[in-house]
Parts: sequence; C-alpha cells; structure tokens
Amino acid sequence: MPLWERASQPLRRQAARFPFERALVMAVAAVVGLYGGIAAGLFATAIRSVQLILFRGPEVADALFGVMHVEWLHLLAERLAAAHWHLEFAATAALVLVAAAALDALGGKRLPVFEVQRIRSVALAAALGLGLYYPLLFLRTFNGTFTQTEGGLYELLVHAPRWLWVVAPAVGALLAALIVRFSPESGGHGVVEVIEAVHKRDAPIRGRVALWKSLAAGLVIGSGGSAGREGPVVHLGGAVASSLSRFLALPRSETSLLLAAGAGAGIAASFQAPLAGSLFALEIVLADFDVRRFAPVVLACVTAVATSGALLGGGTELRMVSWSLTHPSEIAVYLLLGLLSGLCGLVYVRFVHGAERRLSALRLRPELRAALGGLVVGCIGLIAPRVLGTGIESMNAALAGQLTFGVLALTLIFKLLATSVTLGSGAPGGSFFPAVFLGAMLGAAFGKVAHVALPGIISSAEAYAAVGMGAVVAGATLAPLTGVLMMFELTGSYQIVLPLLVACGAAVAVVQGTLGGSIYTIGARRRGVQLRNAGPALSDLSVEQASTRWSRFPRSCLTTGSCACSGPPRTPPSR
Amino acid sequence: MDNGAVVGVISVREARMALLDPAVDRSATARSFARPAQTLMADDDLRSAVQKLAEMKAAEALVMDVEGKPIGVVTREGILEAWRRATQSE
Repeated sequence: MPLWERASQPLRRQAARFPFERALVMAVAAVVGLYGGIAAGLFATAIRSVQLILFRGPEVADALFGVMHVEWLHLLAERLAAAHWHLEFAATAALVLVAAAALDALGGKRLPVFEVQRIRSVALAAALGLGLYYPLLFLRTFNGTFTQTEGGLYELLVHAPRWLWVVAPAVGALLAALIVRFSPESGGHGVVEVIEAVHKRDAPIRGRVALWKSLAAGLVIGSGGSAGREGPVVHLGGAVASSLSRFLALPRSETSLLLAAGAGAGIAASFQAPLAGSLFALEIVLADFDVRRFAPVVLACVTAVATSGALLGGGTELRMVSWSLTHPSEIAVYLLLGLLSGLCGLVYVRFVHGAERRLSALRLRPELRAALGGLVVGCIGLIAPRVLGTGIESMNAALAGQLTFGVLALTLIFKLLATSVTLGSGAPGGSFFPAVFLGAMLGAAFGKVAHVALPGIISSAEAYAAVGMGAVVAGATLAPLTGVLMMFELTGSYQIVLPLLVACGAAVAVVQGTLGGSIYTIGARRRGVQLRNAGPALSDLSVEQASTRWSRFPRSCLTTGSCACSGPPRTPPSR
Repeated sequence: MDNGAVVGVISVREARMALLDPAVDRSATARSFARPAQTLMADDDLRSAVQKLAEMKAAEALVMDVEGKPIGVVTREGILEAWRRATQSE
C-alpha cells in the first residue's frame, strides 16, 4: 500500500462517519434564516409602499403618470445608481451556484446521486434568497423618491384627509379578502399555521401561499389595519422550511425542527433579536427544549438577524431604549405591572378569539365582512389614530415618554378593539406585534400613575413601558423567556432582566391559570391540532399510581393461593 | 415472607409446573422455587419503572413503601392502564 494511502486512511474513515444528514439540516437552517431576514426587510418595505400609495395618492400618481413623470424617472435613476447594490450578494449567489455545479461535475461519481441533487437544490434556494435582495432594493429606492416623513404611518395619517382614514383600511381589507378568496390558505395569523404544520402530519405550508399571504397582509397593514407584520414573515420562513424539507425528503422530525427555525428566524429578523427568536421557536412552536434542536434554530435566527441587519443598515424601526433600575424595591411595583400585564394579555387573547368566533358566525360574504371590519377599524382610527397599522412609531414615542396618560389609556383600549376587529374579520396579519404594542401602552400608562403615586421610588415612567412590552407578550403567548429576552435585546441593559423576569412570570401565571392556553395554542386547538405536550409523560406518573394494592384483593384470593403473583404469600403454599 | 421481609416471588405458572413435575420432591417449599423479588419504590416514576422492568426482563415487580414494606404489585398492564387514564383525563 502506498504511503499516501496509508496516511490518509484514518482521515477517510472519519469522512465516512461524517453526519451528512445533520450537515444538510444545518445548511437548510441557514438558508431558511436567510429567507427570514430578507422577507422581514422586503415585507416592511412593501408595507411602506402601500402606505405611500394609499395616503400620498396624488403625489405618487403625479410621479408615475402625471406632470412630474420625467423628473421622477430621473430622480429614480439617480437614486438607483447611488443605492447600495451590495454586489457581494450577487457574487455569493453566483459562487454558491458555481460550487454546486462543480460538485455536480466532479463529485458526481463519488457521492450518491441523491445527495448531489440535495446539495444542488439547497444551493439553488440560497442563491434565489440572495437574489431577493434586488427587488427589496428597488422597492426601497422607489419609496425613497417621495417626500419622506419621520414617524411612519402616523405622520402620513396626520397629513392625509380624514375620510381616507376610514376608507383606506376598508379598501385594503377588501383587496386582501379577494386574495384570500383566491388562495384560501393565506388567511390567518401566520404562527398558528406553522404550529399546525409542526404538530400535524400532512399539513405542509406551500410557498405560493406564503407569497399571497405576504401580499394580503401587506395590504391590510399598509392601509391601516391593526395587525402585526411578523406573522407573514414567520409564515414565509415556515413555508421555505416546509418546501425545502419536502423537496429534500427530510424525515418528519427534521422538518418540524426546520419549520420552527423558520418561524424563529421571522421573529428574530422582525425585532433584531436572535435570542428571542430562538426561544420563540423552542418555547412556542416546538414546545420543547431539546438541546439537540438548539443548533439549527440558533443558526437560522443568527443568519436572519445578520441578513436583515446588513440589508436595513443594522436596525429595526423599533428604537433601542436605555434602561436602568433606580431602586431595588421597584421590583415589587414591577410585580404589580406583571399582574396587570397578565390581565391585559388575557383580555387580548379573549377579545381576538371572541371576535373571530362572533364575526365568522355572521352570515356575510367574507369580502364584505373584511371590508366592514376595515371600516370599523377606520372609525376607531378617527378616535385614536395611533392604533392604525403596526404602530411602531407610537411604541417608540411611548418608550421615549412623549405620550400623555390620556393618549396612552385611549390607545390601549382602542388598540384592543381594533386588533380584535382586524384579525376577527379574517384579515391576515400577526398577533405578536399588537401584544408588544399593548404592553408598551399599558407599561407607559402604569409608569405615569406609579410615578405620581410613589415619586420617591420610581424615577422614570418610561422604564415601565419596556417591561410592559415584554410582560404582555409573555402573557399572551405564554412564553416567558421570549418576552424577557426580547426586551433584554431591545434595551441592551442587563439590569432589566430582574424586573422583567418578575413581571413576565406573573403575567404568564395569570394567563396560564385562567385560560390554560396562549393566543397560539387556543387557535391551534380550534383548528384541530393535537399539541404534543398536552398530556403527562410517563415520568410524571408514579409507580404507586400504576400498582395494584394488595388490600384491594378479596380475602379468599389470598388464602386459596390462586393469585400467587399478585397476593402476598402470607402462608407459604403448602405441599 | 420472613419476619415481614420478602424472600422471593413465585408465579402461578411455576407453582403449577412444580406440581405436575414428578421429579420435584413433595416436601419442597416455595422458598426453594422463588426467584429473588424484583422491587420498585412506590414513589419511583413510571419512566424509570419501565426501564427497570425491561432491564430485569420482568413482567411485574413488587412495590415497596418508604419503610421497605411491600404494599402491592405493579405490572406492565398496570403501567399502560395508568398512562392511558392520565392522558385521557387531560
């Protein structure tokens, strides 16, 4: 045997043991994270476009078809030329494709055909994901050519005529309902569908559905419907995971793991919070903390955050807040806030599911129901305009302490109503973001009251908004760690962890004790999903519960000796 | 039982076989046939109980309380039944 072969033999033996399946799952998780990150950016930009078209109609029409057309085209071309093209994205995509092709040509004889095909399809999916950056860039540049305002939808609304406030949500909801009619699976919240796909056999999420859902949800949210934008992103992440794992013929356990990773990536990218996204996947979607599942989920979340950070310049629209604990005895006050947040989460879950039940019982065409829902939301918006849309700018204002108690309380109550009506009338949209919003309003309002009542202990009322955000999310979704980590990541302050843990724990206890399920599990159960952790495990039962006690046996059984195996040998069997 | 302590177990089938077997001396006591008793504690969880039964290749085991007194018997069927009851009541 030549020396070279003898030397390389142990290495080859190692290579033969290489966990190919595991590596493939990790690769798919990274691709899913990539899609999650890009989808979050694309979706946020698309919402902005819808907002511009609806609320700045005249300006946009002028630019596209009217007198300003030529100047606008010049401006667009100029902006496109100046935009960050990130050619490394295209280069990476090309490199991935070339590598896959090379593997196909060179390794075709050594590797099984099946595995080569699998690698090729993962590479293709990754390249496609990277390529999605360019439509995003175009949309962003398009948005940038119109007069910009700071402060999102609220600022747009202030400058728009009042009748538009009422009409726009109705039009958006109507268009979305038409899409849902065309593609029925695209209704719903997003997370519930992913949970269903994880826990049910034969419930895959189709990629096409996710695209339609994104479009429909973009219309609803962009036009002022009160829902979260993380739902469609989660759904899209799940759809990519589901499609890829079906295509690669992965086993069911890996498929559900990747579905959860996709969902976590959606949350991670929406909030720029990789830890919260990972915990969301484990706590809510999988409902299981198996260490073996950790790596792919974390990889997907990190990829998502890195991608969306690279695309959007490293930030979500949710502003970072600084946070510090002034007095240790404040913890007791935070406990009270936690209980209140639990109550708020409870009311939120009840309202959303109640509205869904009531409104779906109405004998109306779904399109008409959605349009009516949009009208109602628009009318609510006339009273409290901050409830329209995702409300990120209002959350930022609450965190910065710019809102008065009256505005906070009014917005809190009407946001509850508006979100219930929007989601209840069948419009697609997320239910996570509204919970964050409610928490910010509740916390800020609570902080104002506490500041007046206990001026010596409580220094800043705004700190309570941050804790409230985490606590209401924890309560509504029954995921305490997700709530804690999300706010920890958004504030970047370690001190917040203690009050957050107290508040989130209390909120979860309140909701768990009264409802016994979260906004997701109740929705999933209604769709006929058997959640895996519904019953006790074998390790939760004791031997005593399974044993037959001797005292229950009739006396005769013992004396005749016919039950020798189950009766005590009081007298040794004679003879 | 020896002063309240368990000496061993013997199954109905084994007793019957012994009766029918002409080679067995009529004066043999149960003690000479009994296998060492396999026991579980009453507060063990069922997961470890199943593991132990599988390791011992046994179909049943005596259940002891904390003082070491036998209080009953646990069988494979009993474990399945307890689990079914617990999951159904949810």
